[in-house]
Amino acid sequence: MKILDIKSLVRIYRSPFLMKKSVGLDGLDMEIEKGEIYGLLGPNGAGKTTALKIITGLIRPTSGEINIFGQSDPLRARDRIGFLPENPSFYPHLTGGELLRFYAGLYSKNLSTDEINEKLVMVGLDKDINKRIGGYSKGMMQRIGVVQSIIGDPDFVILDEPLSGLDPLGRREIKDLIVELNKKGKTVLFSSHILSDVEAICSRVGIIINGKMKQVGTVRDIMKGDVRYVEIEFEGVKNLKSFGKYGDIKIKNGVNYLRVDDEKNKDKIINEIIKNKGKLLSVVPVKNTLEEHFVRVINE
Amino acid sequence: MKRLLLVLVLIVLLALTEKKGLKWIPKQEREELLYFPSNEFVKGTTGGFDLILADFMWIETGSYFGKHHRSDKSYPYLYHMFDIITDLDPKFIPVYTLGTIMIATDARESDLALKLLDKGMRDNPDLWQIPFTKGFIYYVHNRQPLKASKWFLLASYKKNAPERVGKFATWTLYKSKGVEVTLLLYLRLYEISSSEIFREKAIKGIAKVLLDQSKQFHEDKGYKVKSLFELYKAGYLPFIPEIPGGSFRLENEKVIFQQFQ
Amino acid sequence: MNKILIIAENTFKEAIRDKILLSIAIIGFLLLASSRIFIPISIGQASKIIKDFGISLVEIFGVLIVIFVGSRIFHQEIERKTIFSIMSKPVSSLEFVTGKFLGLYYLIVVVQFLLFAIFFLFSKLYLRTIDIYLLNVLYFFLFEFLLLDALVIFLSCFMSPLTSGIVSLLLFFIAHLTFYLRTLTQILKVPVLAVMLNFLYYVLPNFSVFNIKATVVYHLPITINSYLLAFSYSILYSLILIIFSSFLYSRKEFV
Repeated sequence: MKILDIKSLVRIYRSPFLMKKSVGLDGLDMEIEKGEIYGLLGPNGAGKTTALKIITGLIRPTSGEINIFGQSDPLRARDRIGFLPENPSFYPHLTGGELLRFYAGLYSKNLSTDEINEKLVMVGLDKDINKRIGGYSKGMMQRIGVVQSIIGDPDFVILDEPLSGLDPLGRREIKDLIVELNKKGKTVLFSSHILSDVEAICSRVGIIINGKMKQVGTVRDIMKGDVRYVEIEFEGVKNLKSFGKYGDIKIKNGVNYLRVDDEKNKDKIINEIIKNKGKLLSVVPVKNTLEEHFVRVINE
Repeated sequence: MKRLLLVLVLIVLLALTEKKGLKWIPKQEREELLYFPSNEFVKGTTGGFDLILADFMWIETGSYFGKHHRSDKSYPYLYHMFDIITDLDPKFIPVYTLGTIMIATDARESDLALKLLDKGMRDNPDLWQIPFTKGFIYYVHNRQPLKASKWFLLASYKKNAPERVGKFATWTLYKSKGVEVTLLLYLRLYEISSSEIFREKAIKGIAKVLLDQSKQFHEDKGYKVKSLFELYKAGYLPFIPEIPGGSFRLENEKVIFQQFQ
Repeated sequence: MNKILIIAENTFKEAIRDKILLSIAIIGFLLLASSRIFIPISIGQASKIIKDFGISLVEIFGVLIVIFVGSRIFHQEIERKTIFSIMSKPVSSLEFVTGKFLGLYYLIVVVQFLLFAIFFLFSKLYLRTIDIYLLNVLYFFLFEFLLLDALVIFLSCFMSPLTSGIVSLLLFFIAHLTFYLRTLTQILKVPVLAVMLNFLYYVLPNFSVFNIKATVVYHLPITINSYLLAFSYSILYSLILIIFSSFLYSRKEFV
């Protein structure tokens, strides 16, 4: 079941005085299924934040269709959405507890102190419940931001760069939290530059470039054509000369490791091993990381 | 360090400008610059803070008066300043009672003082102080006791007017030889007085008028008048004064007041 | 309504914790204390001048707070980027605008009562008496500031903080002179101008309905009609302005 369906979304920014225009989104298509963790990737200025702001109703599209929880007006779906903006900023005069209580109130929820505390424990801010937001570090701000995005128990959580500014432990905690939310049935959409994190937890990834969706799919699907080389392990072949033309061979403890750049030669090599009465131990395709793939797509 | 020095130099220059600079402008012109605002301009720029501005102007006027009182004794802007104050705060009574006297006495512009008092009466019709002050100016400065007495009389009819106001009216009227109004004033004084002393004064006042008129009759006709009725018939009295609780009669050019039991 | 009150409470807390209230209380205290200087120079009018000064100061502070805080009330949210977290929540523009309006109003009410208390303290100290009748002016001030609050909120929906502050201040002064517009329409022989001025007379807020300072200082009677007029004019005009503001705000985008 789709909870978000975007078709040909366009957003043009016009400068009022200079009469210049810039294109934020140029016909974006995007669908998100219920229960997914969807990672939105793209270089700076690709349109990620524009897309997220349109989904949350902060800005309006110039043209195109958007359907969220069956509503064509995102404003009507806000009670089921939680949003963390990029580089979040909150009221400096409030404490963490007061901030959460405030946002909960906007969802017409009245949280007890225990419930507030529980939420803060999730992100390791329980000890700072009475500290004013004005004294928070960037990491603390990010954490309280994630918590406020789920304070209304929304069905759809949208996070713009949730891992930014966090140390590795913090990133781990947030990633675990995202996975936990997903296990509870929440759909999560988040944008990130930290591709290894996206790789680790997303069920699907969308790569947006110049306001258009370039690639969508599971990480595995996206990376299917992205094999850098194949490493074939075998033993028991006396004459290795015929294998030299396929790539480099290393021998270690009687085991031969052949690195083959062209994946297409894989079957030929396997046949050759069998023909030479050798024993095939393993065939491992070594792929690009998502980052390398991402850079490749951008440069295309 | 350089910036600090620059700031210090600028402060010194500013102080010098303030101290010396104003002296370059002729004194009168300086004052004119200060007092140029028209009434309309002032009224239009107060934003509802008329009263406090009137108060500041009152203080400023006092300062202006004091400064000129110690020097040239010339107060060209006094009326204008009081006029603005009363535009801002029409109920600022001291302007009418004290200010107009200053305009008439010190600035020697009794016409302007009277004009200001007329304005005050329009805005404060129930106050006795304003017509009383007008009477005062007519009597003291303009030497017009008849006009003064009219204003004192008007003042005496106002609510809470003290008894002496009526006395002023009668006294000045008498000074102007207005018999009819003098009698009326004394009768009024008797009517409104609650104290015996004032009532006695009223009776004595009426008696004096009657006596004076009888002497005048004697002077004119060459013989003594026999009764008040004869005096009235001869046109020396507009009416025979009557007081509840007593009556006047004339005997040998003596006025006798007989109280009823 | 609950969301409105939550936003209002947050707006109030923000202003209070900003130490603005403390600063105002200190400055107000010092200025009211300084009214002692009027006694020797007032030429017998110390009581009147101290009263005029006191109630005018209370009003001026109210005006300055409304304009200074109100003109930045939306801009601050955008500048600090806290607007994204609020407007992505299920909060309508009407709820948001009304919450801000009420929050600012709570602040003004607190400041007015505080300053009036300080004024009465010094009145007792310098004049040996407290003129309770002056409290009537507080009622009118509260309705004046309700309207001024709504006006500033309305202007800050489409003007920068500086512009909305200046325009609000100008309108506050002009709005005490709307009766002049009426006089002008009768004087002017040009029908088009007269129509325009008449239109302005009805559209511009008329703050003179709240100006009873002379009435209370001179202990003149205040008619029930004056109370009712201040109340109803303020409430109705403010409601219209808030509705317009929420409409304007709903058209905003938060890029």
